[in-house]
Amino acid sequence: MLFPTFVFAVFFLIVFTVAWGLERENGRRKAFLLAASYVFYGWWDWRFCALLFASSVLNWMIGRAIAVTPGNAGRTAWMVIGVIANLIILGLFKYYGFFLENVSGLLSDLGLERDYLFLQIILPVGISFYTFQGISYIVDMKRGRAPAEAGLVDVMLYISFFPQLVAGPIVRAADFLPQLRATPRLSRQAAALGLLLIVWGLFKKTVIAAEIAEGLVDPVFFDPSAYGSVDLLFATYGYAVQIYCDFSAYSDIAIGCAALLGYRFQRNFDQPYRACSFQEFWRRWHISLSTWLRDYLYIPLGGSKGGTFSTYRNLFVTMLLGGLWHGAAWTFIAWGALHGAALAIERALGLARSRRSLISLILVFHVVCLGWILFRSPDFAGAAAYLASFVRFDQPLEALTPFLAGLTVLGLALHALPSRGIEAAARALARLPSVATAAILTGLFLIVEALRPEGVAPFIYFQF
Amino acid sequence: MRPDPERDAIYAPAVDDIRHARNRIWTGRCLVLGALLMAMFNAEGVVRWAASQPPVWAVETVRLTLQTWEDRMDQAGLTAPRQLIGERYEALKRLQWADIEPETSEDETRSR
Repeated sequence: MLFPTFVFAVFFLIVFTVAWGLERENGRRKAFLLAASYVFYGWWDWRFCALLFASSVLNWMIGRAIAVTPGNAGRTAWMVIGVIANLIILGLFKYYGFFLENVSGLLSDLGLERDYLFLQIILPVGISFYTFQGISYIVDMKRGRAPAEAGLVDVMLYISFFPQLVAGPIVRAADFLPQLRATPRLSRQAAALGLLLIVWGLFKKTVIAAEIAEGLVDPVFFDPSAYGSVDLLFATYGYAVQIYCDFSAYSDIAIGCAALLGYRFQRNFDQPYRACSFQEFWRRWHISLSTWLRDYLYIPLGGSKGGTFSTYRNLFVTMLLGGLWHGAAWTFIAWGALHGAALAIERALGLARSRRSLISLILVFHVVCLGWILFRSPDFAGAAAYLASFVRFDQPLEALTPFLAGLTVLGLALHALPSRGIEAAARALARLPSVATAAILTGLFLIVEALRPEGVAPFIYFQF
Repeated sequence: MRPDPERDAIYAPAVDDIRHARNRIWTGRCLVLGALLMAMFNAEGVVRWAASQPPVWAVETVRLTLQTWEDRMDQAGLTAPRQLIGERYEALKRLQWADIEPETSEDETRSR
């Protein structure tokens, strides 16, 4: 079930009505939200629900084992078992084919050809997100940050709650489970923020991201050799805008839906292309992933406490694995390596602490764009062909129209808006009577509906 | 949860059950009124969705009902704003670079 569809709108209205109808019975409310989340997830393929269920029960059982085990060594052992179990699930469904393909290729080059068991494993939607949430639950239980008394329904709802299930934000157990103790009390400002975030997200996804993808990015990345340097440059900027508008839109709608049901998720994006350093970029881009990687990977590896070499090594390894998390392909690993190297160089030269300037902003943005070329290209040959075509200055414009150029500039100009403008708008909206608020939001929604193209592609991060 | 003063204030829960109930009713009204207004001004969107579904009995019944609804809204002129925005936007999409290049005046042509 995709967010910007009529089916989801009907689904959400039913969930909203029933969930608040059950507000006096928190247990039933949670059970209903859990059932609704499975309906939402099963809409793609009901078979995926079995894996989600198995993963949730497994994490809950390991969480219980951690809670009842007295000694630290035993608790650590359970945590390690839990993390490995989650990584095996992720590895089997996401990386098995990639691993086997590379191993067989390598052995074939060495003259050691064998018959391998190649399985056609379907990648369940959102597996990377809910596996990371499972790990977060287990590690938080071990660290004593997650509530030990959380029952099976609570843990299952935490892992499968439909707004964040398939593309994040990656919610922490320590943040979400305490919210399930009692039926939340709704704040009018939070509801107004939720409604605004949903409309804003729909605008970014269906108007900006969808148009740029269809008219500019997809054709140029499909055959870069047919286009000249200006088309390629704008397609690169276009993809930077597309991936930001697409992914941040999903996060906004997820945060908005959760807010309307009385729950809070963290902000996941904060105008990332305003960053003047790579460190700042990762504090603004996919915040829930970058903080997850910091807390559950970088710091356990030793963080910056083990000397200069180990700090750079930890930084690089963290970003490399962050790249691999995005997909089973060498281009994603190279994308992670590029960011890891950029972060390490920036730290070594002390640039992260230097003054903000337009030059650093432009430099960071263009290195990020270089990374997006790797990220978007199907393989290294595709990325190389794309970069090689940049020197074709004599080619006339083929894909770029004034409309698409304007939309790309608009997507970048969103970063010049006040950083907390939506919160201010939500506070203003919450002061109005419901009729006026509904009229304003419907007006905005109507504009989005009039501008959006027919049929919208799934969100980019669904594939991860 | 990481501290975020702006959002912490926005998410501060209602202080008592009465305020919570008022907020919930306010939110519910916004959603219901929004859905009604969308049904009136954006009937075409729902018809398009129904048309994209497999033509089984139930969907066809919904589609025909919605088609009639859309015709009524169209006659009342309620779909006009959406159509107007859509038409202007489509014209913008069709624009080419040649359309926005400044035209050469006759004097300039003569001087050349």
